[in-house]
Amino acid sequence: MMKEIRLSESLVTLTPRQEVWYKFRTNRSAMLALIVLLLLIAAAIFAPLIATHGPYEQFTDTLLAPPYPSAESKAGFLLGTDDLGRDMFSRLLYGARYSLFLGLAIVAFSLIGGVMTGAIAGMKRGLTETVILRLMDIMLAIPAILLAIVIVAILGASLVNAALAVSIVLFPHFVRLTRAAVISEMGREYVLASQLDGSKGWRLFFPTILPNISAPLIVQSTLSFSNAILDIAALGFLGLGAQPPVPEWGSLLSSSRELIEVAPWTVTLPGLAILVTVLASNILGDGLRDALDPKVDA
Amino acid sequence: MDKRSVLLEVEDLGVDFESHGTSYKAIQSISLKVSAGETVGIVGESGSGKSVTSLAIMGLIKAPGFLRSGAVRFFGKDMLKLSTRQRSRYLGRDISMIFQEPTESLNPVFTIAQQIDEVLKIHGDLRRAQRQERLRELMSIVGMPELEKTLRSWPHQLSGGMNQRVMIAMAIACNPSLLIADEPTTALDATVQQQILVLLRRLQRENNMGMIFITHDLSVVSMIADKIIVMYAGQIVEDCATTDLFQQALHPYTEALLKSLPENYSSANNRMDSIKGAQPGIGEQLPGCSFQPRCSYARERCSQQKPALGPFEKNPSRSVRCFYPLAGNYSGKL
Amino acid sequence: MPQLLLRRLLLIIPGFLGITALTFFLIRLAPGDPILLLAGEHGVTAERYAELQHQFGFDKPLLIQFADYLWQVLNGNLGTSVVTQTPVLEEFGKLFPATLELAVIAIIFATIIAIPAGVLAAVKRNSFIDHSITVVSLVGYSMPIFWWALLLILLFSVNLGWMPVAGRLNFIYDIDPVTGFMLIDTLIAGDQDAFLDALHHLVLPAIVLATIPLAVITRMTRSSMLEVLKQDYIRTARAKGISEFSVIFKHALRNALIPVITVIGLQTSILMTGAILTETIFSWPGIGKWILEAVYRRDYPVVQGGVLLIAGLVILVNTVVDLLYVVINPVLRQQ
Repeated sequence: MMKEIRLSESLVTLTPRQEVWYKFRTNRSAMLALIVLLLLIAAAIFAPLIATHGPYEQFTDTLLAPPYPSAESKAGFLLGTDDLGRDMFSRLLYGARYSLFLGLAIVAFSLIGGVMTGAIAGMKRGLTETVILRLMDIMLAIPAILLAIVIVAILGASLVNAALAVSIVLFPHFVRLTRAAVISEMGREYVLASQLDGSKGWRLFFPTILPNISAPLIVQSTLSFSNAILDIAALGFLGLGAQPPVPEWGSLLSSSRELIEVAPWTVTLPGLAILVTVLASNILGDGLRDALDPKVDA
Repeated sequence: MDKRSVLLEVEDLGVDFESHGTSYKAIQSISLKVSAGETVGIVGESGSGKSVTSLAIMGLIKAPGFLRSGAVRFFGKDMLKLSTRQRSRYLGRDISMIFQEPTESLNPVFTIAQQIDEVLKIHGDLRRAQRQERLRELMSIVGMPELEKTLRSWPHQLSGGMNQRVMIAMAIACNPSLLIADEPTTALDATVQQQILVLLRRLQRENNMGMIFITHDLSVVSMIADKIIVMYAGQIVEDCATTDLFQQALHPYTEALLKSLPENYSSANNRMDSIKGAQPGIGEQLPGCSFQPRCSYARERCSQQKPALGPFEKNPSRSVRCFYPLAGNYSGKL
Repeated sequence: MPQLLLRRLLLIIPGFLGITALTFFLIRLAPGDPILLLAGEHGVTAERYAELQHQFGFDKPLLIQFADYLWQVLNGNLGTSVVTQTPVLEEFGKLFPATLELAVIAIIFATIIAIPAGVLAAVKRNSFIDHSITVVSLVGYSMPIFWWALLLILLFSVNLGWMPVAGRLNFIYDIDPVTGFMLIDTLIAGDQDAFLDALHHLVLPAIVLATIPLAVITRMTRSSMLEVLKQDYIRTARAKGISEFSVIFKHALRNALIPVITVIGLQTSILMTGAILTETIFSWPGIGKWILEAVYRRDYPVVQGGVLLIAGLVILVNTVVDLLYVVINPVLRQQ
């Protein structure tokens, strides 16, 4: 239904920041994704309040109970139980804590370290830049999971080490992004003006350059968040991350792999949780990128 | 073909363009005629709708634009009623178009030879050897230096002027009756501009082609057009023979355009006049005449009613859209 | 153009050196005394220890050790597996064809579906089809692929019984490993049933491995096509009277595919990552599974050599892709 042209309304001009928010706000799927993520984070934070049982409690008389709609499900166990009688719902809730908070921590680490390294490369140029770039290229040549696996193999299998390994794996992306962005900003007038004023090094970077390159960094962060969750889960699945009985989603999949025939819900549910989280994060990232990029017309 | 037979008749053409659920009028009530051997110039600022008009005539308007009204009769047949496939038989063969940015308008992954050959292949039944011959013929017609080398080149290797010659070659390859030129010289250097204009004029004369020449530059159009149509904010505001226009402009906008020509810089004015203000933005609709806010002759009626395009009393071969045309009255209705 | 080629090839050298250095020093950081590991389970006397230390050069300064290692590598010696006592390079050679076969099938499958899907989504932009394709590809790269593998196994092997779960070939077939590619070898042996069985075994792992590349290539094709369709030369093509089909598949696609081809090439790294997980779940005897097991078993020479080989492979493919990009993009070709 097309409406005819309205009589002249005053042309509203928006500041760039308002425009970004507007574009984002009208993107329904991105908003939905944001809400889902916020709900997940809330669920993770309030897990002890929401969970029906403790994540490690074993109920020996309700082993392998299926989730609710089924005839054989047991009361109180919303999503069924596993082979040790532990409540799936509660374990998934507590598992959210690991995936989400680890994901955030990993991104924070890679972001901070990567941005600073990239800034150094972009501002110093010369040999420093070349060395850093080559090092990043080499790190990127090793497939992600492989690098993470090797690092964990060296440090020992634990959740913390897995998180560290994944941070290292995601690190080069931020370095390259920041370096490229810094280089393209360095020729701009506002940077030159600032330099004439006497700023250099970190004094130049943080207040002056960084705000102007934040858009691609934000988008990369959501992408890295998704990858972090998937990588941690993969390491957990391979037994190189979270160790049982920690209910991290990936390691839940590892221990329930053998139950696939008798208790498929122990396999489908944790994976579904990962999928929903990562999907929301990716949709959010797409939405942010569309809102922040002036040229994009997806 | 009689030199003055009418090739193209555009009737009440209107194109809307849709954005976020509302539609805006890009062009409205556009009517014009082009005869064989005649050049019709369409003049206007960017945003006046001149390019949209040309694309609408070709049937190339795509979402978010859509055709709202009008007929485009080419040799009596309404092109807009044809299906895309039917229309594509005419495009490139009987009606051709050349564009403003010649290098951007050529496909970067095909050579010049391949691109011109394509037109010959789909519209004719020349055999390969004959097409190759015609290619070379066309290249020399448009005055392309280093013929063989150019044919083997890619667009990005050639200059803007050369690419425009290529576009012209493609456009006239099948001897079209009508050529639409959308700002063909705007992106080129002044000297090259001249050469292209001369080339177009010559081709037109030799083939008795009708031509629509779109530009924002009055001095360019004066060199090439027989008739001029002035567009403003999506509508025609003046329509007359070139000589008439330069002798006496009827619409205040036309007068302002003339005044802002560099050659009209006079010591009396002591500066070049530019037209103050800007065209109404997309979607802005004023209750009265669209030019009124910038018109130095505007009176009360102008902000309250919209003038219609009508013949000028003193010389009915001219049309103007104004209640108070300069140098006299007009007999148009409201 | 030859200079560009040369320069690009020369860049491989520092890359290669870097990888070698990285793997060398990385493994040195591993816990556990490498000599004790190399010596095996029976323990070692102080004398033997010193002997081994000398033999493997652990008593020399680190940099010399690295130089030695580098020299060894260039001569084709990447160490010996502590578990199987076979040279690393040899094991790699035996197992690589399995991974290659899987990867090639996966990427072909992904490309054949992804490119038409991306084109369709772009041409029918914002329609239901476009949204569906976009959502499906989003889900595709948001899924943990080990979970996806398990789901497929659950459905097709456990519930429906259509697909086998493990390995490349049913053990009843005895095929000579001529090329290492099961599909080819079974044809060479003339055993049609075995060929079909090999194909049967390939289906699920290939689907799993292809999932992420499929999603990525679809998205890339779609956005590339959208960009291209906006260009002036597409408008010119239509003004020339070219059929819409030709406009899309000849004029637009050839331009749109240029960046997509490089994306396809760069999927190698993703494929290797995916291979590790996929091969493990499907018990596919390739290098992914090999290197993972080496990590579990602390078979450090294998880990070191394996990482070096895999990373080297990725660098090689990336270089080829870079060069290919210059070839297919006429704008760059003249430089």
